[in-house]
Parts: sequence; C-alpha cells; structure tokens
Amino acid sequence: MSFEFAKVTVGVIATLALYSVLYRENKFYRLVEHIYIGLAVGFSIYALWKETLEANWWNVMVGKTAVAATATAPAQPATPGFYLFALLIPVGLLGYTVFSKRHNWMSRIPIGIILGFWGGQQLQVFWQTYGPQLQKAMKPILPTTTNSVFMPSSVALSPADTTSMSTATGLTPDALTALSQNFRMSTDGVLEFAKQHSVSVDSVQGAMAAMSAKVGQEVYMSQAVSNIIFLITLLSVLTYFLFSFEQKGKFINGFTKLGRWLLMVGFGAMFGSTVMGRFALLIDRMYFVVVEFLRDGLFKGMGG
Amino acid sequence: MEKLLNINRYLMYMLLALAVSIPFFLPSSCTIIPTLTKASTQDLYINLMQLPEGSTVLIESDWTVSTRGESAGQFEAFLKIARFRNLKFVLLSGGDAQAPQVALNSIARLNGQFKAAGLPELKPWDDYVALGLFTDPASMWQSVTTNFRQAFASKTAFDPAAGQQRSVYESPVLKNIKSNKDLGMVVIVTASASLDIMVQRMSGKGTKIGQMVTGVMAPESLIYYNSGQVAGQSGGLRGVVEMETMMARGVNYSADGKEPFVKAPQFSGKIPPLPESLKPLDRGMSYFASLHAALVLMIAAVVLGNVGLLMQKKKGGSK
Repeated sequence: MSFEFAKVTVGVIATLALYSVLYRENKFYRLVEHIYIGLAVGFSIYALWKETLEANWWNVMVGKTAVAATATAPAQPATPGFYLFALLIPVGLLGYTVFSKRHNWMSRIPIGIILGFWGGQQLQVFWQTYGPQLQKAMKPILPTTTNSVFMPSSVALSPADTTSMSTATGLTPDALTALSQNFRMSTDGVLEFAKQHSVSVDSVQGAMAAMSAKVGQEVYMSQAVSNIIFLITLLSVLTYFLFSFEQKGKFINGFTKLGRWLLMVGFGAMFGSTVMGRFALLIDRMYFVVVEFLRDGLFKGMGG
Repeated sequence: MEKLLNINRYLMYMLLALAVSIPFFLPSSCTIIPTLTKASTQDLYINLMQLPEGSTVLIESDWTVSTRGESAGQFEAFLKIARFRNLKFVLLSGGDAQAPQVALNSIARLNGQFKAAGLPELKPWDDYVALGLFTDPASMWQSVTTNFRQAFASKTAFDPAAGQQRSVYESPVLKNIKSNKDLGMVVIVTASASLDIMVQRMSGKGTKIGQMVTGVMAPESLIYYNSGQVAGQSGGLRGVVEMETMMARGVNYSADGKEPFVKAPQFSGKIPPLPESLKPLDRGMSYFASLHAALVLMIAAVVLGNVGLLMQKKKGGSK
C-alpha cells in the first residue's frame, strides 16, 4: 500500500465514521470526533508557536547571528536581541489571575490593553464597513430624462462630444455618428463595424465605452423605479427594527409588515444558497470516497 | 398516501448518495452544463485577467477540507489564472491553523496537473511565497496598509538558489512591492468572517479586492460588491462553475463566428479562453451535475411530501 493511498484510506474511514451519526449516535463516531478535535487543537497550538510566537516574538527577542556569504547567497548581518519583549510574558500571565478571587483585578490589565488596541481600530472599522454602503444607498429616485424608459442603445452627440471622442479614439466624426445610432453592438457587430470603417476594434470599443458613460449619467425611468423599490425595502426593513417607540397606526403597521415580508424574501434567498452550499460539501465528500478512494485508488491497483 | 409521508429517511440518504455519485461516472460531455455568469463573477475574473503579467497578488486562503467542495475550486481557479498570466502571489491565512497546509496541498495537486500538461510548475520563492498563519489577521491587515515593508518583516522563505532561508522581501514576489498600492490585487478565498476583517481594513486603500466565498456566505457578502468595496465576487459552487466557464469560453469572445457565450456589457474588451492544457473545466463542473441531481431529488421530496399532506387533509376533511 502506497503512502498516498494510506492517507486517503484514513480519510475515508474518518468520513464514514462521521457520517455514521446519520444512523445514530455511536462509539465509532465519538472516537473519530475526539481524534479530530485533539488533532485540531494540537495543530493549532503548534501553528500558534511556529507561525506567530516564534517568528514575531521569540526570534526578535533573542536576535540572530550573522551568516557569511556563500557562492550563491549574500551575507546576512547579525540582529541584536530585543530583550524588552520579555516583559510581555508577565503582562500576558496576568490574564491567568482571573482564577484567583484575591488577584483577579489584575487580569483587567491585559484585557484593557487588548480592548484599547481593538477599540482604537473600531472607529475606522465602522466607517470602512458602513460608510461606502450608506453612500451607495443614496440612490436617485427621480428620473432626469423622460426621453426613454430604459437605458437607450443610441445617443445624441453634441459637436463638442464628437470632437473629444474623435481625438481620443481616432474615429472620424462620420464613424462616430454611425456608431452613436447603436453603440451596444455584439462582438461580431464591432468587428463588422471596424472593417466597414477601416478602423481598429480597440478604437470602436473605446468610443462605445465613452458613449455608455455619457448615457449612464442620466437616470432613466426604469432605474428610478428600481431605486424606489430599493428605498422602500431599506426603509420598511429599518422601520421593522425600530423599537424605541410603540408602532401604532395603519401606515406604520402596514409598512413594518412589508419590511417583515421583504426580510423573509431575503432569508429565503439566503437559505436557498445555504442548501446549495451544504450539498456542495456532501458532493465533495462523495467524490473523495467514490472517485479518489474507490475508482482512482482501490480499483486502479494503487493499493497493491 | 401514508407511504408518501413516511418515506424511510435511510432510503432518502441512500438515494441522495446515489444521485450525487452517479454523475461522476458519466462522460464529461454529459455533465457540462451551460451556465450564465453573473456580473459580480465576471468582474472578478476580468480584474484578474487584466492584471499586467508579473503582478503580485496577495491571496488570503482561509478554507480547509470542510469546505473543499466550494473553496478548492475557487482557489484552483485562481492558481490557473496565476499560471496563465504569470502572476506572482503571496499566500497567507488568517482564520484556521490547517489552512496554510491545505492551500499548499492544492498547489501541489495543480503542479502535478501542470507538469503532466508540459507547463511550468508554480515554484516557491520565484512564483509565490507562503507566509503561513496569522493568528491576529486584523493587526496584519492594519500593518499591510500602514507599513507594508514591516508587515511581514519576521517572515522568511527558503531560496533554493541560495540554499538558505531569506527574508520574503528579497524574493522576486515581494522585491518591488513597497506599499499595498503596488499589489495588483488582494484576493480572499474564505469560509469564515475573515472576509469582514480584511474588507474593513483594506477597502478604499488603493488596492482592488476580490472575494471568493462559500454559498452560505455569498448572499450577505454580496453587499461588499454592490457598494463598491470589493471589485468582484465568486460565490459557492456556482461561482466556481462561472469562473471555469469564463476560463473555458472567454469573455466577449466569439469563436467560429458565433455570438460570445459569456457577454460582459460592462467590459469593452474581450478575453480569449485559457488553453485546454490548463484544464479550465475542472472540479467545479464535475460537481455541478451532482448538485443538479441533488436539487432535483430534494424538490421531488418536497413535492411528494406536500402531495401526501394535501391528500391526508382531504381525507380528514371528508370524514
């Protein structure tokens, strides 16, 4: 039996043991569950030392000796030890005084330091999280044009627009006028247009992007309706969570009820995605057992 | 009717196991399901494919075997793009102690695939540096934005040419990166709240962010994309399939005079498909048919259960 196949076999045994709880609680399941938890904790302690404490604290504290240059590697200078880092040990150990009734006040010192660091970051964290979201929630609800219900695929270019686009893209004014009649063409359309007007595909696509940007400055009826739906959803859901006053009156009650329904719609979408996610995990385990272990391992002579 | 409401649950488990396993043995031509791609996934893919060759991407890999069904496909899609575009990457983890090793296992698996296809492998030190686990990712991201050259100052990696451990800042991956703004992109593949920690500290700091999340997280993390805090999102197994579809068919790319399969109206350029040797349709697509089989089974079970319930009510009412 090869080492690779042995590893896969152990994985399959663990998978089947953990799935055996679907039948009922049993000792096989318990055994593997405890092994898994033990391994995970042991691995985490090792990783904590190796990846964090040793690299960021111990090595910096004790410093390192110089390494001489070799034919292939440059010299590495010595680094002096930074022994003040040793003072972090008693500060950290103060955390354990929480177990003593007489001295547990001292545990607040490391907790206070951590809270101070964390609290200082939270001002920035709050704004970084919600600032852009609040900004994006300010959507225009009044259309700025009534020329078209939906975003059009043609645009009227002013002489100034034509001149600036012509300079930027190299397309002639005639070509730009022709393109402005339908600037949302397929890739094949772009190729055909570029061939007809003897211009490069990149310049056509550049002009199309500029025209899209120009059209995108307006708020069309369809966008306004979409934004109104967004605003109603936002306000009704927020109103549902207002508990500082009694929600009385037909309008408020109806509005909060709408908020609750809209929340349910959101939860439904999230649940659907969750179900697909859980199935994906099952599918991967079945792939591991059926394909990686049985088809590509046991029945391919790998175990022999 | 009674039978409809009392189907043995072990039978249901067996049916589910069979339904998801059978598609693994069907020929790949039967299991390729044409899938429409969402704008959020398109933006992630387009941003990655538009990075200049040789750019350095910082990727946080925070998934383990428990979400391999979704996260492995996401991570492997990134690795294939990195190979194709010659992107260099810094690999780190901030959520789970096992995550760094799981990510290295994925790189090893894909390197085997690259080698078999005659492609160069992803080499440590030259193509990527693995920085391991950061038990306090909040502080790490804070350092990345405030003083990039100090954030990983304690980290070393083995330089095979020199035959010794050297500072990661001397590697070809990080040699020219002076601040986070020099990074091509920051990508996170995660199954946990490490996404929030990263977005809270990295968004709006001059580096584009891409997120690859699990299906459970996808709906609530989409807000980061909608508010412009991240440049793109791939969510769950569907996200993997969408990434693989774009790798196999390109974006705004027409083959044989046909209409492009993936149309991205927000992108004026076009991206050709990745070569077949990179196996663009891989783990995601091979799981997708199984997902459909499982969903059909679940819908059938819900319908049967409801039919049974209605029949029982009708019978009870007629008594």
